[in-house]
Amino acid sequence: MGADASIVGALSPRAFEDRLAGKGLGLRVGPFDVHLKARVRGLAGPLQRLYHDFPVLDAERVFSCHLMAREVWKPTPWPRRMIRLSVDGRVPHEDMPAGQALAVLEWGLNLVIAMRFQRFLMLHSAALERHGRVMLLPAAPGCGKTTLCAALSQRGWRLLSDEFGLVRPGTTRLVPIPRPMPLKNESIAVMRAFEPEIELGPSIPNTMKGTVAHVRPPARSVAAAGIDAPAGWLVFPRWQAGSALMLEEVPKDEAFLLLATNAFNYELLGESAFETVRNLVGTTRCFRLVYSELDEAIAALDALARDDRG
Amino acid sequence: MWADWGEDCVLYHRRSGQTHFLNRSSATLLQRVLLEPVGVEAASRALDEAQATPEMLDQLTGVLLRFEELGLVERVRD
Repeated sequence: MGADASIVGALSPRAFEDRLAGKGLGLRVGPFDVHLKARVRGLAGPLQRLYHDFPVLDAERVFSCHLMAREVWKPTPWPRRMIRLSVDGRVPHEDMPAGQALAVLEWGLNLVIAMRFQRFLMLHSAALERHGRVMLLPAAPGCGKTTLCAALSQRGWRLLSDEFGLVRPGTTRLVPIPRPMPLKNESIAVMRAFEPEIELGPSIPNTMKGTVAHVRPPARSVAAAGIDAPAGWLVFPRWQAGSALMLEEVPKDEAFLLLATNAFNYELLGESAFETVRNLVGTTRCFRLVYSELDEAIAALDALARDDRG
Repeated sequence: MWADWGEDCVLYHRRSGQTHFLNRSSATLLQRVLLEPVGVEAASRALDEAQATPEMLDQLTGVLLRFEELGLVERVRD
């Protein structure tokens, strides 16, 4: 069954909020059909802006997951408004402050994807396409992966994901799942300075990761979410304050180790994961990137993509 | 199943589901032993044409014992 012609941004704010709080809203998010229901004050507006370009789905379908967020009161030591997230009726973690509803919802969806959709090899990686091939940016938290990914997405690279490199086992093709990109702490100001026109959601302070603000994914990336592409480069990025730019090739065996240990479900998929990582490493050029300035990093990656284009 | 780009090697062991990273010498030794059962002295010849020293043979024995612990090889009687 296909997506409705409508996108989230085509709904009036009132219609969006009513639907979200009422029967719920079906959203096509990459390869997943997500059913979302939320009754949380102040959530609908930012959520609609961040998901502006996503296809709205009719309700008559089997959804990949059902997420629900609702307000509850925590009575002690003083009454506090909290948000309770549930996934298919189950509550996966303790209630969180209601002001963090947007972040909790996004992390909840991350959790669902990481735990449930094992038909993909899932790399903890940003993924962006340039000239028909995908650059994977696998990295541990704190390496600047999302910041670099958001910046590239503002400079002509098609966003596939800032968080999940979804690879079809047995292939080297990446499946897009563009979503809002959560910037943390200093990265928020860095990105505003880098691209003053960037569309950011509200700053959400005091989360478990500090202050978080989400970048709206570019409309053209969301529109192309059904188009997968082969991997072309593996670049292991690390932001380091004050460092000179370094982009150096990584031996294949080392790249294998880095990529296999980066995957969420390598052990679970076993042999097919080994084959897929071997294919990815064998068919891509592998690099380590250390950077402190976004413009320099982007220039280097642009040059790499351009040179390999031939 | 092997992944080998001429540097260190990666081995996927189907029976255990484990992935092992081997340096070139260990990979060469394992590949030799997997061809047919051999003693440590014969196996050492896969690594180096020169006569293996007793120290080297001790080291190789240690590596083979580690392979055995990992379930990659098993000892057979003469």
